[in-house]
Amino acid sequence: MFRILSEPLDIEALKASAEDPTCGALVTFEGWVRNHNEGHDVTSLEYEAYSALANAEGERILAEAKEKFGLKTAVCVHRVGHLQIGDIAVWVGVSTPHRDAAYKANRYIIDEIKVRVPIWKKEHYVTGDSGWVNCEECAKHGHKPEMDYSRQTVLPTIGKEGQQKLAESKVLVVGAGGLGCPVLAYLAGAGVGQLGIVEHDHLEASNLHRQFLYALDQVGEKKADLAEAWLKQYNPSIDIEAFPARFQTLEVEQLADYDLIIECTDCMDTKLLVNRAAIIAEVPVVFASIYQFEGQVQVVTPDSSCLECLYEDGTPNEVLTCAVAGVLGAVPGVIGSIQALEAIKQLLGLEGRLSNELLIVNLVDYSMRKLKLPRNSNCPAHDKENPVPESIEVTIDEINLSDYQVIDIREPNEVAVSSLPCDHQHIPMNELLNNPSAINKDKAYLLVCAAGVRTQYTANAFRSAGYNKVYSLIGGNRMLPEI
Amino acid sequence: MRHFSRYMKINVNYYAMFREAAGCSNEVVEAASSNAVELFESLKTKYDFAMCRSHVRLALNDAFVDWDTPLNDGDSIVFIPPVAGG
Repeated sequence: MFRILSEPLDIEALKASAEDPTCGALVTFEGWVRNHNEGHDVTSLEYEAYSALANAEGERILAEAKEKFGLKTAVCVHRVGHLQIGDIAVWVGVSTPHRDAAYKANRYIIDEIKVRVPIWKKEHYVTGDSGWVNCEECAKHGHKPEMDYSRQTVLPTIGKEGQQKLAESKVLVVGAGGLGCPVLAYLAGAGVGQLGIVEHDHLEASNLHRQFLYALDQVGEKKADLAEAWLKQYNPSIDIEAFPARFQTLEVEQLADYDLIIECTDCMDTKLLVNRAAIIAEVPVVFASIYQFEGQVQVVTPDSSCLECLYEDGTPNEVLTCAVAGVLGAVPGVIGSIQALEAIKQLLGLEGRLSNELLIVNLVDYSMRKLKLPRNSNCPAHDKENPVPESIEVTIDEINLSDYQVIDIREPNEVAVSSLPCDHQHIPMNELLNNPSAINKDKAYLLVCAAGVRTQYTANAFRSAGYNKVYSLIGGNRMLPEI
Repeated sequence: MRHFSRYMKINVNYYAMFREAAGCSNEVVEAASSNAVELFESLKTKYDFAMCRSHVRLALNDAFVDWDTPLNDGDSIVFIPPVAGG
């Protein structure tokens, strides 16, 4: 409930309206009229509201907070009229089952109210003067501060023309992790006009040592949304679109809208999909990957060699992720910065951009090498008749479980501890690999293990042998819904 | 083909500093075009508004809209200076 009132607030009644018997936490905020602001002694305040829109916008903010933080109740009341020192100008109360969400939600509501709801405040000063808060400041400065790109436009190769071109560019960044953070930050800072962020993961504490767009108190939240918020604050003049989903959920037509894709995941499966999809959409891609102290950067355009040209006998399935191989934050920092630089070179057509080459950066001895990588005429990725291959890995949200025969490939001792909560067969991994005839080439199978690593390996092996409907469940058995 | 009269009547509402500068809460203004930017700029000149348009948001018939939304005869608009609730 959002209300604008011209009489003093009845705090006890408001509190009662915000209470909920299912909730363990009620957080309230009282905004008081104080006797000073920005060095002026204030004697009283006048609030004025554009009621029709203020009520609609206020209700919208409360609805957003309810959705975002799982609130049971949200109440906000704002005074209008002439208020004296010590009067309560605004009151916000929220109830949730647990306190953490209540604190966050209350803060969210008051912060949004202050900047979005059309309510204005006039201060009356001891001196007899008065002034509209915020309005005077803006009028004085003429305009809000804007990003100043002069330090880069002074470069002869950039100039005003290059800056304009960046402002008109649209770039999709796939993966907002160790590589994605520096890529997003530098491209936003450079003034690339439109940035898309594809990232399905939630923030984990183990990400933070290398992923500087996020903070410790955000663990558990969606990284795509967090990155969007960070970038919007960093450079408000550019457009950011967050896709909190896996790359597989994007259509080729959506990709074709972009001038460039920057691939920043640590997942070979995704890299190969981006490679195929981008060739079909005719959008160039800047790929990078890191392994411990080494990084590789490659640019794939519709006419150049591609990721699959690199691996003649099919692609490596066993690529170690950061979680397994280990990583120092500065390493993706360097390689991601190279990706951002290459992206700007590609967008502006600058000298020295990578073409039919693989850049290998060794951060143990600080050496860099460019290896020629000619296009492989037999590479299946360049045959546009070939469809984008389906992902081998799937999340539980993306599929209809009843369309699959579920196979638990864990060892008997693991199954004894926790059996799957749905219809399934149990064939341990090695048994299945040694006896492929246990499954049927035409049938769809969902392999389940404890984490999704063994199933990825096994599904890959079956795909190579022509079993095209074998899938690996991301996250393992704990993802299956309890019945 | 439909014919429109040359001038549209737009109901303009003022709040906060705009109300004080205009000396009224609302007025009906005859607008020569459907362009809200032109209307704001002409009123800015008339009343000597201290604030430039980049800080002002536009509401049309009680909803926020972009400045390039065309105005129609009989519309009600509000120029919204930076807000300061709380």
